[in-house]
Amino acid sequence: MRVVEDESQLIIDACRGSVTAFEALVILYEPRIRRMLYGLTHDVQLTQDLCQESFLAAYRALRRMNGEDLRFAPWLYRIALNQLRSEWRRRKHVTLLPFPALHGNSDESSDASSEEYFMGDDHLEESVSERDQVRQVLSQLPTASVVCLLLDAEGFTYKEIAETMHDSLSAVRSRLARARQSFQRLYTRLEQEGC
Amino acid sequence: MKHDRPQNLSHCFFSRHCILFLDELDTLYFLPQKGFFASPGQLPDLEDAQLLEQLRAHIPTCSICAATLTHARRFSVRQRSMLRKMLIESERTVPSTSRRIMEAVRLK
Repeated sequence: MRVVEDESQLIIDACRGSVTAFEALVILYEPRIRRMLYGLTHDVQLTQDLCQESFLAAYRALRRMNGEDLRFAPWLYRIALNQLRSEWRRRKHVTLLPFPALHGNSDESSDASSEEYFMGDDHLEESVSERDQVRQVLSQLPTASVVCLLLDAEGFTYKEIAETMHDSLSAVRSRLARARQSFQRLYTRLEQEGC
Repeated sequence: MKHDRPQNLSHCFFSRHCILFLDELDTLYFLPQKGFFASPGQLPDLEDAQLLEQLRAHIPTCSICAATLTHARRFSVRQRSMLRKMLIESERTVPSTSRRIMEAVRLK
C-alpha cells in the first residue's frame, strides 16, 4: 500500500530526521491508523490516545531505520497494533467492538444517525442496519481475523498483511479465507434473524 | 447480501483451493499467459506456484470451481465494500489527532 508517489522520499527524509517529512507522513497515514484502531476498539478516546502513541513511537524509531529499505505502511500498522496489544495487556480487559444499541450509541455522530434513522430515510435505514451488522459480525471474530479483514479492505497485499502481522504468506491466505467464510456465515445469520 | 451456495461444491477436490487462492488467481500480479508473478515481492513459494498453475489449467474445465470462484468473488467484493464503509465511518467518528501528534513531536 503506497499512498502517494513520492512517499519513498518522504520516508527517507523522515528517517534522516526531517520533521516536515514526518508531518507529511502523519497527514497521509493518521486517518488510516485512526479508523483501523477505532474499528478494533470502538472507543473514541482510546483510539485517539493509541493513534498519538503509535505515531510518536514511530517518530522515535524512525531514526534507527533505513529509509531505503523500510516498508512504511506495514511497519506503522504493526506499531499501532503493538500499542493496542500493550494497552489490552495493561487494562487486562477492553471490550472489543462492543455492539451498540441497535440504532444508536453514546457518541454524538451515532446519536445523529439514530435521529435521522427515525426520519424514515430508507437508504439511511439500510446503511445503519448494515453498519451495526458489520460491527456485530466483527465482534464475533477473532482479533487476528478482524485485523486481516480490515487490512485487506484497506488495500494491503497479502505480503503487507503478513509483514504487519508477523505471519507467513500462507497463514495470511488461510486466515483471510476463513475470516471471509465466517463473516459471510455470521452476516447471513444476522440478516435472517432480521437484526 | 445473498449467499446462495452453488450446489455440490465439495465434489471437486480443487474447490477449496480456489477459495484459498481467490485473490492470487484474480490479481494482476499473476500473468496467466506466462505463468509467473510480475513482482518479486509477490512470489509465492514453489508449492503454491505449482498449485496455482494447476488451478489455472483446471478452472476453465470445471464448472464447479468456476461457480465456486464466482460465488467467492461476489461475497469478498461485497464484504470489502461493507468494511471500507465501516472504516470511513470510523474515520469520521474519531476526531483527527494529527495536530496533537505534531505538537508533541515539536516539543521533543
